[in-house]
Amino acid sequence: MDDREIIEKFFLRDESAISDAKAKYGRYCYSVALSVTGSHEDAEECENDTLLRAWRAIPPARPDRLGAYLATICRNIALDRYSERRGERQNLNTERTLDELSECYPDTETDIIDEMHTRELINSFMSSLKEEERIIFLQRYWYMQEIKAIAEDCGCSVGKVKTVLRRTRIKMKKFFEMKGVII
Amino acid sequence: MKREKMARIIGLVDEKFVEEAAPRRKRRGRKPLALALVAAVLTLAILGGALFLFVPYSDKSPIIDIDKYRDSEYYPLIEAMYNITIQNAFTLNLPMNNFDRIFAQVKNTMAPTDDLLYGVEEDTAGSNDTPGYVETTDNQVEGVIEGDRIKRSTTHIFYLGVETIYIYEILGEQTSLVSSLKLTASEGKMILDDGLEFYLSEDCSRLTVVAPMWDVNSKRSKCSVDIISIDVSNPAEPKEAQRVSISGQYVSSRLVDGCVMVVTNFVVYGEPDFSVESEFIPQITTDDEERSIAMEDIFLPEADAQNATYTVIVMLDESDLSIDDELALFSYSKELYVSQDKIFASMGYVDVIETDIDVDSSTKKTTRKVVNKTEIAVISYDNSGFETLGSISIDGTVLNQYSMDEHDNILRVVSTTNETYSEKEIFSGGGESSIVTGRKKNTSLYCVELDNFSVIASVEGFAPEGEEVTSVRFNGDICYVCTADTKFYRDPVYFFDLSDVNNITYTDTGDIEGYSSSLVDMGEGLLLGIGYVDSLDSLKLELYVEEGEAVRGIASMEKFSVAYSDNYKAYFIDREHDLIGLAIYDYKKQNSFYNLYGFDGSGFVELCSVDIEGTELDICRGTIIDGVLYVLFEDKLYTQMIFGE
Repeated sequence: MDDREIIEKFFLRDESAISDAKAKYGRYCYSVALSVTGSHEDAEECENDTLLRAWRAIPPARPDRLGAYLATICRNIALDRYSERRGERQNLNTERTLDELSECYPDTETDIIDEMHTRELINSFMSSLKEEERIIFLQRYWYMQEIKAIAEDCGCSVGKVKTVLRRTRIKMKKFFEMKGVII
Repeated sequence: MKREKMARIIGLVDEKFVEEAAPRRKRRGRKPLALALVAAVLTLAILGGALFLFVPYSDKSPIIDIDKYRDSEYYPLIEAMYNITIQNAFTLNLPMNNFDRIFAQVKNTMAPTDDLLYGVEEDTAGSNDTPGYVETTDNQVEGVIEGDRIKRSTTHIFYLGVETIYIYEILGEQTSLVSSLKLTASEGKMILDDGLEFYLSEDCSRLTVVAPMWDVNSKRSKCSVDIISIDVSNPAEPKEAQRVSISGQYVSSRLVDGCVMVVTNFVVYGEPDFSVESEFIPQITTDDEERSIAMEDIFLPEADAQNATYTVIVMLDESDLSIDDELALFSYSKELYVSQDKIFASMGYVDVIETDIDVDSSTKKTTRKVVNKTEIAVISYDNSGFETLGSISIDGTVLNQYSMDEHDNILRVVSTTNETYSEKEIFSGGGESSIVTGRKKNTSLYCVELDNFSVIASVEGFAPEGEEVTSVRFNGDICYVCTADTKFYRDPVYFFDLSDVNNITYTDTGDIEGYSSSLVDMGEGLLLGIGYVDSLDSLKLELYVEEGEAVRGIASMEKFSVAYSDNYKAYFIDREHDLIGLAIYDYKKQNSFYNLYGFDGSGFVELCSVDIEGTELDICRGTIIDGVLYVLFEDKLYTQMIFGE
């Protein structure tokens, strides 16, 4: 089913929109949540919560890319779930990924900015990257993929993936430092 | 916290970038309007087909009628695969409608992770007594040679850079390049650098290259391995002699008594067409002829098969790449341990115990206990081929090949054990809720008698609750185990005395700062840990010694804002002189260096630091010949005198 048709169903409050969205993007969302939480049970719950949240958000939201929209919701839910349960168990890959990300945090701070401006900045940074760099970076830090999986998906070596990630983390840190912002 | 904040910030990226980076999508460049128009026309033309594609399947109706394959020799396999791909579609991300069936593929999550190090012996006979050959790779088992990117004879160094073999004549600081040979891929394929390695024959006349390949055009399994024999009898004119291809992603290889054993992991993608053998049976290609592995050479597990994957093991004669034997282990993982005469292959699975309870007239409750287990298949091998001997199951999951070791006909295994408890309530009104009520994670060691495949001794739960195994090293009757607490980058190292399996004792270091990803036995009761201090961009070298009831760190060296390879083969270890060499990238100096450290009895000393150019630290190699340090990195050679004559 076309994304527009599914979104129209959301707008018409036709509950089959949820099952249509689940059929088309359920697995996608599940895999996003699984990469973060490392738990099948949690991933399943995140998938279900995503659809419920989408039901509440659409309308008024009218996403251009339904799959990515749902995956973004799911990722946020999964991160929340992971934070809540981190005391009980950890996903080693997620821990490593988050530790790597902390290195991007700028050391210099001047202005406090809101989410809208943060969104502009991060997308400006993403646009400045080469496509391959951006894909590798987001597969690691958005999709929380293992480095070897990224290497296979992109058809390059593990060493190259690691190098690209390191350099892009440094670039990102410098980018935010140059902008002089607190995030 | 910073890391969570950054994770949220990354979540603000535009959906177009999220979509672009989605894993398992074919990478395309942007095309102009003409293609968009063509796409629009095609979309209209197949609208009816789109409806056909997205109608979900009924849960009850099978997708394939496999009865028509009953006469096939592969029917037991087809049946096992059908049960996995159809009945367990949720776990394997398999299709629920025609769209998924045609375009989905099962993600291959298995990739090589050789990550432990024994060290590098220098100028020893190793397993080769023929004059000329010098073993440079320290192998887990004596006599079982492992592939690497550097091999040498008494006169030449052979180095595998980025898809190119370089041959140097050894002349100290005047060493020069004799020749080079760029490796080629078959049409439609590209060479993958990760895993690329080779062997040198005993008479130093042949290189056997193991080259992982990626088929850019394949819609299903993209991975294969080419084994390439290169004639280097005249080092000035190396040339390719033979080539064999095996389907699957490269896992590992060994050279034993003139036989090269190559291991791949072949994944069955999506819903295979069982009338096309190459879609569900591993293939071997020789002299441009492709054939399937016979059913009699395929081993199915005792426990229910969990994945539609194979661990493929092919034994080739190193001299001409003729195939001596082949074996495919269905549903087994990449974690293989190879001893002098046996192969141990592991398969992770879960044991589920469910108990139903009637809470009241309208509510049922199910308690569920899920235990991770591993089945280990044992296969003997010699020059005549393979023979399967049997299998054993233990609790937990096995990290890698170094978690298993055979000694005096006893298999020792270290695993991370995992139990998950949950409850599900089903209400008569149709609703249900499920919650996880508890989890347990710990580490265990098991000893298995190989005559009757029984566990004869074990130490269970020896680490603090919640920890997992991060590295293991066996050395005769001693076993070293690192476990991890990733929250605080702290981990203990455990020493096990396995000399009496009826009375296994162990000591631990207590909490040690840092996190060892590699353990090296330096001999004389010393153990070297190579790992991290407080982040992944740090390096820590630490030397431990066993003293009575305790294990004590006696020297350490830390560096910050650096990166280094966690590929154990990239480390140079000289036990005789207590030397450690490895390549690092210094973020502050924005440059790469090859550093050689020594231990002077009280601490680590940096003996030299060679400025090197390049980014692929995994492929940098160092070795010392007659007091001269040779560093080989991509297409360059660096030499430096370390010890005078």
